[in-house]
Order: sequence, then C-alpha cells, then structure tokens
Amino acid sequence: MANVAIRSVNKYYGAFHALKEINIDIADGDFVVLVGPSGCGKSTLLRMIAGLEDISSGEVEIGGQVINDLLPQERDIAMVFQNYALYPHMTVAENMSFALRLARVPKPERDAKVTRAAAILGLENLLDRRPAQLSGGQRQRVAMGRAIVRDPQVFLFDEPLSNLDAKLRVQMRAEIKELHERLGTTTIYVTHDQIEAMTMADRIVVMQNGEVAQVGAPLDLYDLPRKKFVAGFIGSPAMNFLSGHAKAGHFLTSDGIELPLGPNAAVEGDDLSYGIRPEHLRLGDSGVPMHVTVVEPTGAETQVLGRIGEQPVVCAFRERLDIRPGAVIHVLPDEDKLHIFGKDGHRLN
Amino acid sequence: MPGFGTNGPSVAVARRAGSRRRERFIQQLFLLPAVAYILIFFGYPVVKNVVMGFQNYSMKSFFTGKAPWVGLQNYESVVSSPIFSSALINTIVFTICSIAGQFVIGLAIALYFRKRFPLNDLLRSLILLPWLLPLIVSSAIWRWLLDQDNGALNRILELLLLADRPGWLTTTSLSLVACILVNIWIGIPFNVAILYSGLQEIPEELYEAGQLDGATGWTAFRWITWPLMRPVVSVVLMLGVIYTLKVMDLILGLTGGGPANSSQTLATQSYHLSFVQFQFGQGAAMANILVAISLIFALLYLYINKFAGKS
Repeated sequence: MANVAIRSVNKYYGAFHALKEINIDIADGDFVVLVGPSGCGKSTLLRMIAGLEDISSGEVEIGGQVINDLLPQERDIAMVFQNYALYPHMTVAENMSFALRLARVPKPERDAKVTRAAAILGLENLLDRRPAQLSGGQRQRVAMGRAIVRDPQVFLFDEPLSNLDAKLRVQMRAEIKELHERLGTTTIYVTHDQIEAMTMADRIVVMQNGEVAQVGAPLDLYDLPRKKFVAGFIGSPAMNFLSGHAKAGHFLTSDGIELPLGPNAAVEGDDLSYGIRPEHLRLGDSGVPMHVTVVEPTGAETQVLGRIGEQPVVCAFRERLDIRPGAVIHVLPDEDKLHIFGKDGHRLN
Repeated sequence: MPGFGTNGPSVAVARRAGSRRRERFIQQLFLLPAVAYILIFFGYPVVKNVVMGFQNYSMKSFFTGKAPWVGLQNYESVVSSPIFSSALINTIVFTICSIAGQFVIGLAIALYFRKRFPLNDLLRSLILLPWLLPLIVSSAIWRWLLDQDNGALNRILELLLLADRPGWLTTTSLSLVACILVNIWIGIPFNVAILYSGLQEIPEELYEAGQLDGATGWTAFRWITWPLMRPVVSVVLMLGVIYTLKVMDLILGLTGGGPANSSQTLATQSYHLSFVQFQFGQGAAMANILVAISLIFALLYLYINKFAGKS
C-alpha cells in the first residue's frame, strides 16, 4: 500500500491542453473518486497514473517514488477496465493469474493467490469458465480478482460499473466498497456518476475541463461547494439555480421575484446565481409562489417540478402530498442552506 | 344455417394451408435464378469434367461427337507418366513456400499497419494493388523484370555485385523459385487484408490490460494476438492453399511450366495435356485429381469456419 502524489501534472494532445496543472495528494489507504462529466480528463489522468498515457509535464509519485518513466507493469498497480478487458481465450483462473505467470511466480503460489482472491469474490465455482460464459457482474468480479491477485500498491478503477444494469450497479458498488474496507489498498476510482462518487469515496475530486474544480469529503462537497459547477454536479436531483441580482439585503430574480437571503444579506452584485437544493425548499402557506408542472412521487419523497417566475425549479418533499400539475404552491428556502454564486461561478457566501 | 358453424373452421384451415403452400412456392421461385446459375456454370462443367476423365476425348471427338469410354486408363497414364511425380512435388513445394512467404510477410505488414502513422490508410490501400491487377498482366511485368539480360532485378544485382545475371526464368534450378517469389508478391495483399481485419477485431483494452500484466511486444503477440487470431489464421491458410493449388495463368505467363518441366505443376500440366497436347481425357483426369486435393482443404476450411463461428 502506498500514498499517491500528483504534482503539477499536465497533458497535451498536440495543441490541446487536456489536463491543466493537476495537484492531488492521496493518502495511504484512501478511496478517492475522480468524478466529472465526459471529456473532463478524469480517465486520462487515471491512464497517466497507470502508464497507458504519457505525462506531458509534472510528476506522479507512488509510495514516494516518481513513476513517470516506469513501464505500467513496473508501477505496482492494478487496473479494472470499463469493459473488463478479460482475455477471452483464457479461463477465469488463467485471466487472474496471467500477470503472475508472466512474472514467473511458481505455480503453487499462483494457485494459492487465485484461490484466495476467488474466495473473496465468490468466484470459486467459475474458475474453469471462459469470460464469454459469465454474466456482466461475474466478469466484473473476475476483473477485480485479476487486480487483487497481484496484491498491488494501488487499485485503479476506470468506470467499472457503467456496463451493468442499475440493480447490479448498486450491488457491485457495495461490494467494491466492502473490498476496500477489507484490503485497505489505496484506490483511485473514475466515474461520471456522482452518486457512485458520493456513496463510495473517502474523498472526491471533481474535475471540469481538465482542471480540478474541488477536492473534499463527499458531504463537504455537498454542503459547501466552492463553485457553481460542483454545486450543480454533486447531488440528485441537482441544485436549483435562480439567476438574478442582490442589493441591500434583497435578492431579486430576473423575473422580479424576491427571495430571502437570510444570513447572507451582505451579498451584493448582478448576474448572481441563487442556489438551493431541492430538499431545502419547504412548503408553506406564504412564501415564494411556484407554478407546478409535474409531480413525481417516488415513495420515499415527492418531487415537484415547476417554475418560479420563468425559471425551472425542483422541490423534494419528504411528505406524500396531493399536489396537482397546474397548481400554485408557496415554498420557503432554508436560509441557512443557500449557495450564492457570482458571475464567474465562484461561491460568494 | 346449421352447417356453417361446423364447416367454417375446416374451410378456413384448408384455405390457410393453400395460401401457405402458394407462398412457399413463390419463395422457392426466387431461388430459381441462383440454382440455375449454379447448375449451368458450376454443376455442368464439374460433371462434364468427371465424365471426360473416363473417356478417350480427343480433337476427333469434337467432330464425331464420339468419345469411347476407357475407364481408369486416363488416370493410369497420367499418374504413371514421369512428369506427374515432378509436377506433384513442384505443386507441393510451390504451395507450401508461397503460403509460408505470403503469410509471414502479410502478417508482419498487417501488424505494422496496426501502429498509427501518417498515410497509414493510403499505404494500406496501395498494398492491395497487386491483387487488383489481372494475373496475366502481373506475370508479363514480372517476366520483364526477371529477364536475364535486360531485367531490372539482374541489373540491380549486378550493380550491387551480388550475382552474375542468373537466368531466373530460364534455369531449371531457378524457374520454380521465380514463380514462388512472384506468387508471394501476388498473395501478400490477400493475407494483409484478412489478417489486418482480424487484428482490428482484437480490442485495444486487451493490450492495455496486457501492458499492466507485463505483456508487451513479443509477449503480447504470443499470449494475446496469436491465440485470438487463430481462427482467422486458419481461414487465411486454408483459403491460401486452395487458391495456390490452382495457380496456372501466372506460371504459364512466366515460364510456361519450363524449362524442361522444372516449374510444371499439376494445374499447368493439366492445361498442357488438354490444350497443348489435346489429350482432353487425360487433362480432365489431371484436373480432377487437383479438384480432389482442393476439396480436402475446402472441407477442412468449412469445418474450421464452422468451429470458429461457434467459439
């Protein structure tokens, strides 16, 4: 096991600056999730750590050793690929022991390691099968088994659950997390799914346009996003943003509707975004009028979609409510949980 | 109407069965052109050739319409003739060497084209050129290149002081070698095309996983590329054997099977018997032997193809 340090790392594809001055410190045993929309550079960064992409400038250290010039197999890492990348002509056992075989590890030792990993992942009965004879979830487990067998310093996961159906994804999410608890190996996990990030990570690195937007514990990012991008990306349903301006303790939306600022009365400026999470809007007898367009009862909560003025808003109420589309309800923002962002997308409160 | 209720369903069933029969008839009608084509252009020549092999079919037969039945006599004289054994050996040498050369060079080129470099697509399509030329054109060009006194090859060898004007097409020890070299040149595009498409089927991720496992370069080829290419390789080799066994125009254009039958194969010998010596019966017998050999490989090919499809 080892810590990972990414220092001033840049990646250029010709003239295109794909990754810009990335600095991330990952402590020994941490589960870090790189999350961001497609094309934000998260997979590129992972592949640079793995040695599958060159590092244009900067340094990557694993366990205190700079690994920029080491071959992938010399970096003491194991990677789980999005499409599993299992060798179709090898059995499960052969897939799992391939790296050890190439490293000339004696067969008894190889077999012992495969047996141990298979037991951890519940693959004992599948060792003689080929990948084509396995289900998606089983293949995923074999890919993880292949990583475990090598007993590496760092696990890298590249969107490993994106090919699984929703139910299996939830199950595998828990399994990966449990595996990490058990093995304690430093893990870097790439996903575009913020729920995966929130549920699995010790720390989340949110990436945007080749830059690190914010690093922090999941709930810290949720409670105190420093950028509008992070605020909108983390959380489901996503945070509501109402554009407008603030002056003398009042926030007026672009449609001229007044919203309370509470403790943030000092905030002033034009072109602001008034951010409020759907669960931080309460139903009231008076308050901000909202025109309901869609009501989505999920059982656990009731999501109400509508408009404040002309701007779309989503509310999530814990209660089961009998609200009909077309109705006008009144909502009250929780003034302690407001997020005000300036024109440049940075947090103001 | 008491009868209606009982008769109705059976009438409907009968009508439905009738319309289904009609439909099937129309479906089969669509097959007719293809079936007719195969029967006329493939079935008839094959049957005719098999029959001819048992007949004393000469120029006279064309006028008289009579070709006496001679049983296995044609086969006996073809097999017992001294040329047969040398033609058979030449065929085997020609086929094995051609296939080996085409395959090894073709695979090397296909692997090379997997790398990304400028003009990759253009060069890959240019490499198909020899395939597009008519064989008789290729052989005419190569005859000129390999000419003993004025050929480009000998000029170059002379300049490099490597050899003193070898008679590529006129020496008994070299004529088959020359034919093999030209046939390798012709066969490379086919090998490159099929092997390259086979290589394209191997996902890049497997090589990336290989890099992390420690399989790069030769190790990656040995453990990832080769096992995954095996079905494609079998197909290329089998088809290569079938195509090479029947090569005739190329050798006729280059050496005519000579000098002194040194580059004579079963295919060219069959041509000689039929269209130079006008022993149509013997020529047919020789051709049938060749067809039988090809058939073995064709069946093998079908078997492997089926197996590859399953796996």
